[in-house]
Amino acid sequence: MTNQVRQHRVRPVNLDLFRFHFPLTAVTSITHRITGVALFLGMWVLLYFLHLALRDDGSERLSVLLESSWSKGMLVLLVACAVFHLVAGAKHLLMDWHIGESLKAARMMSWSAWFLSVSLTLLVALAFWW
Amino acid sequence: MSRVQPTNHWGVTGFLTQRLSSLLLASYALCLTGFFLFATDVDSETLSEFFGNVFMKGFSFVALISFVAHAWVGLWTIGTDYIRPHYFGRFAALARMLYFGLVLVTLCGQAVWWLLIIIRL
Repeated sequence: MTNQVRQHRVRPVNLDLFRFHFPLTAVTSITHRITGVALFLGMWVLLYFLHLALRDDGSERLSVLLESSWSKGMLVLLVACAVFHLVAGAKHLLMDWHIGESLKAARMMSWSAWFLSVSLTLLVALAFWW
Repeated sequence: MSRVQPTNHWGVTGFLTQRLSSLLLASYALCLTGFFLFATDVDSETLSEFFGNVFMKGFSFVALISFVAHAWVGLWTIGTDYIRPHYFGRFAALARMLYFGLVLVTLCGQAVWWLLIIIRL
């Protein structure tokens, strides 16, 4: 028993992440994760915007804020994260139901997730700036 | 050969929490999208009217709970995936505790603010 535990402890782990070539499905997966963290942190920003928008004395401050392209860009970035996280999450749920688990289908769904979320984000950004 | 059995069984609960909250958050997001899509004039008044509606207040509360649960499960997974002795050496346990503490404090702060926004409407 002790011997086995020791063997487990010294097993070699080679995970130099920068030496990998990541397939599209892996990139989609890690982006899902990164956008999730971004949304968690960005929730402060979203709450601040909501807080300003719903207060009588806040709307003035909000319209000043929305004139700067920094906060506009921040909002669009958060929308992009939300859209991607939503679309990739839907893909994840489909795979929970064993839909699209073959390599070919998984690749196709990854492409679709990127295509769909990028075009949706572009639409939102266009509507926002128009 | 004996196998080490996990002592806590939160895995299934976390899995189901993540799925259920994802559906609730998705419907909340679609609801907000619908408002911004079809509202002719988005200003402070229409926004307050929309969010101040009893149904929307309840929905916002459900979304708040879902967000905290969803974020917690997701960030917990990230913490246990990356904050390990392999990367952090003997500071792994301490770093993980710090990380979990920071996540919890942040989520509590966001929940309180969100709640205040809902209540004040």
